[in-house]
Amino acid sequence: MLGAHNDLTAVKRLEEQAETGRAAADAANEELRTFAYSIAHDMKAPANTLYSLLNRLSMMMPADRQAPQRQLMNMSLQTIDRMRVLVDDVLQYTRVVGSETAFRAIDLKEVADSVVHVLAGDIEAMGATVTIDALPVLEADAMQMRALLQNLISNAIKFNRDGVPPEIRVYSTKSKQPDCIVLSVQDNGIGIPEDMQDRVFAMFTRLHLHDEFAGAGLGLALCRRIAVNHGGGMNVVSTPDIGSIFSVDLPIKQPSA
Amino acid sequence: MHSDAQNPPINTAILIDDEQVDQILYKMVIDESGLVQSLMSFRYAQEALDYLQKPDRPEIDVIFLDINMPRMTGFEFLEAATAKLGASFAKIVVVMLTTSMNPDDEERARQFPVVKEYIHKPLQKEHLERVVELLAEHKG
Repeated sequence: MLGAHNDLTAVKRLEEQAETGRAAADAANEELRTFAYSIAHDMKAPANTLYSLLNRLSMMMPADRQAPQRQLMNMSLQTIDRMRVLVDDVLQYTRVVGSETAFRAIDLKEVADSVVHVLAGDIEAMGATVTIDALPVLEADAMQMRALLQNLISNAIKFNRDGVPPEIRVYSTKSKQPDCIVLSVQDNGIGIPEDMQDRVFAMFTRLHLHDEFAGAGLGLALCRRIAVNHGGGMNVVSTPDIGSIFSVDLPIKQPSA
Repeated sequence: MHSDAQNPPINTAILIDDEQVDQILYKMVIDESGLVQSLMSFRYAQEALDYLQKPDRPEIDVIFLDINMPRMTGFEFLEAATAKLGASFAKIVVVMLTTSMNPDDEERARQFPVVKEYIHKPLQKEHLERVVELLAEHKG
């Protein structure tokens, strides 16, 4: 009897220790998220100020485009522009990852339509066509679904082939997983070589030079994170010079808390 | 110093860095130093690797190598170049770091005997002078 009692006490103690460990890990994660968010947030103001200062300085420059001052100034403006993109992308990432997920019924078609509306300027500038098929309603976080579709569709616009207007299709199919759907964004862009495909979801990983395609390398990392937050996953099927299909497995219902 | 300009101690240097602005700045520093005779630059590491495999290329004194690059990173370049061309595909490789290396990276970099120096970006004249010293040691 005594032995059994001791075993139970030991199990209970281990459970308590595990619980304490989990709480500590959660707290540490939360602290890091807050830290990343604050850094990005506080860098935004000086980056914007520097951008304005450089622009003013640029207006006082000699008009000669070949003047070395002018070239250095253009490089400075390019650099600060990249910094602003980076700061914005880190802010978006930490905001989405750090916020509490609030699951409710989301009409993916509505989200996709409103993302297309937001991206209308880019779509027109690139001569892109975006087709949104019938999409289901599922339990999800509204902000995260919007960030997911916005990143996938704007990537599909951005990574286009020279002289080939982007043709983008957003559709959903049945998943092999029970009670899940697959949401896909298909493009006719540059595609991704097979040996690079597993890299694209890693944080701060890019496959191109900054002057070829802008970006911080956070968009697809965020998309994958959103899929995981919903109990799903992400993958890509792609052929260079043909196009890519980014697909997200999403459960139709979220487990009730 | 004019004799330096006529006969720079670093004969052939290669710069591998994906950032256009960094490349332009480093070329200015290299030009102003007068320490380098001829400089070639690449923005994708794979292109530098292709060049190094050309049979008629000159001997390379130093490669300034960025680590964080798209597609082929600096580490992957070191691995591929060592596998294809042997451990001494250049006299010296200088690894250019943006931030402090994490211990895993340091471990990884130590495996390559051709890496003689790590510097923190941006590249400066003192770094080039250090390369001149290392080349003198290399000659023995």
